[in-house]
Amino acid sequence: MNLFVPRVLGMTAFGILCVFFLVPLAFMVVVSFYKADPMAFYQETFTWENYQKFFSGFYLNVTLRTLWTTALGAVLVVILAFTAMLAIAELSRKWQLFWILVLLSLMCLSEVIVGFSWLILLSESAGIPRLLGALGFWDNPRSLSPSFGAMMIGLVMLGFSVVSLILYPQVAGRDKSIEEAAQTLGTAPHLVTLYVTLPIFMQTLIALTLTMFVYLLGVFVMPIMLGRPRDWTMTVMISDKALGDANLPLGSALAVIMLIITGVILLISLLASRKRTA
Amino acid sequence: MSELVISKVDKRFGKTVALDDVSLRIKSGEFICLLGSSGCGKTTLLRIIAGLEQSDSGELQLDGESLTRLASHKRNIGMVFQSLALFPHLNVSRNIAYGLKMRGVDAETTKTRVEELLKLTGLTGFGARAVTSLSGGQKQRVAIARALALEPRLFLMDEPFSALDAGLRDHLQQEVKKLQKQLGVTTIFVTHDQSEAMALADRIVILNNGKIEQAGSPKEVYQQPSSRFVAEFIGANNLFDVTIESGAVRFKEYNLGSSIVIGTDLRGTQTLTVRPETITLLPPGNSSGNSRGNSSGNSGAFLQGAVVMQRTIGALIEHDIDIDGHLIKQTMLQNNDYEVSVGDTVGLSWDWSQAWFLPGESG
Ligand SMILES: Nc1ncnc2c1ncn2[C@@H]1O[C@H](COP(=O)(O)OP(=O)(O)OP(=O)(O)O)[C@@H](O)[C@H]1O
Ligand SMILES: [Mg+2]
Repeated sequence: MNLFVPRVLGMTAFGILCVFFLVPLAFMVVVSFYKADPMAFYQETFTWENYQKFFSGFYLNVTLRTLWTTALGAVLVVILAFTAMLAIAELSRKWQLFWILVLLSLMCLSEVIVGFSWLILLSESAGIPRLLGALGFWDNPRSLSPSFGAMMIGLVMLGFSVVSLILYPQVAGRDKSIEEAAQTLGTAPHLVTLYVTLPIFMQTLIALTLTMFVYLLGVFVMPIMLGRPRDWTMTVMISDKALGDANLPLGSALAVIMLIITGVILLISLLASRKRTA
Repeated sequence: MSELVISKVDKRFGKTVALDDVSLRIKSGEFICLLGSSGCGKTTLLRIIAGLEQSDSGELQLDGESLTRLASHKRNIGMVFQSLALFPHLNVSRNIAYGLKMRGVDAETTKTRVEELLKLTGLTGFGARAVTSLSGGQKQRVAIARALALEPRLFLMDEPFSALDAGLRDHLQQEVKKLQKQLGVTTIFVTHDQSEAMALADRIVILNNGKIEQAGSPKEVYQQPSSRFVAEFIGANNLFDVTIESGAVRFKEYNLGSSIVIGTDLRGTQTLTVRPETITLLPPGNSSGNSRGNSSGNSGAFLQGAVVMQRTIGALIEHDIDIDGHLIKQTMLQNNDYEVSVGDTVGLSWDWSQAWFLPGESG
């Protein structure tokens, strides 16, 4: 078969993607060395000023907070989705289908709707605090958002349905006899998941955690809607600088640094997981 | 080295009866083949023995100890699964060592034991390989080594070789048989392949629709089937519905001989089974049609019919013979130098000492 046409098409598409990714990236890198100017957007001079601001302390803190918040979110999403799929795979076909449909419809909801519904659920006048108050579990019900916990719930909700739907076919279709074999070899039933199922899925789970990590790094609405300013992640800070304060050079510098940090983390994880399999 | 007693085990899945009143005593060190067609309950019985499935009623005893309340992971029963179920994330050595590790055996002993098992199953040097990189036969060996690592009280194998090509299957059958003799482990081997059962078993247990039809040595189930099902299931066979009256055995209008000469004291309607290889084809003139040939004891022709089909199978030739236009189409093997071709009329005789009347079918 002549592969000329598909190759040309493929290369063209790839080329266009590269251009649309690399050009803004290059622009961002260049701008990050410009000087901020409240009157115009920026002055076209060369300065390390923006990067120096990063190491001044505040942004370093935000970065660390962002990394561990996002990592925690990613790990939670994957653990919850994996255990949920293990449980759902045990149900009858009918109920499995039901939950898959629920997850699919969850995925259709936009970030804003999910965030907003949790905002209501966690608010003082409606939802969970009020319910707890009415049931007598909470004397003085208060709104539970904005808070770190509320933001985390939002982040987990965002990733949960996607990760679940990716895991479902693999979990439901796994060879159960491997777990039974572990039992005949002396593994107590309640330890089989830990000793056998989890290790078998480890590669997949790590890959999904990394994906979720990168995805949650870029999430913008949840921290703003459900988190306090001191919970905000770097993404929010960057937009705040770039759009709110019209400080495009600083925003760009922060973005470039985040990009580098993310890249380094991913590279290390990939190398580590490759070493484990080899 | 353990004796297993299965008493009155029943198992249903909804409306499906998977096992129906199964009772069996398996002697220590015995090699049992559980033989039956697809869906007859072989895997279910194996899973109940391994503790992976609960029977609805009945009991299992291993060396006099009831297994009913013993969880699977405490039974120490080694099992090779139909899908092998190797741990994909562990290499060959770690697969084999898994049970030892669960049991808390120390690293040094484990290492020695794994080496020993690798050698025993012909896998020396494969220890560090990923199981996903092995061939089908090698995977089988790993599954066997893993199941044997804990010196199990029972060794169960569920159609382990059904996915392998014939040559490799023969080879592994011989190895398993040798291994089992060497270790003396009580073994239950599930198969739907009768020649495999014949080659391996001390005793074949034939399952049909969840019921045991017969349990006996390969020779017994072949020569003395206890039911019509077994007679037709094991090997090629010819079944004749005969009547025995006033000392004569009759099939349709043929008189096959006197019951004294045949050596039976049965009466009434009976089912006679005659293996193809015991049948001799004779020139038709030798047959008198309605009485037994009398020239040479019981070697004369009893029946006669027309050859409708011939097939050459290696050294033997199979003949289908139509007797008097009746529905009986029999497969015979010619074993002498009397040559016939399609359309010829031939006489049939057999050695009565090899023929067998099915028990319990008089009526
Ligand atoms: N978990 C189950 N749920 C419902 N029915 C089942 C289950 N397991 C087995 N059965 C039914 O029980 C019967 C016996 O099944 P079993 O797996 O023991 O057959 P088998 O003899 O091993 O067949 P094969 O040679 O095809 O492996 C079958 O009719 C099967 O459909
Ligand atoms: Mg089976």
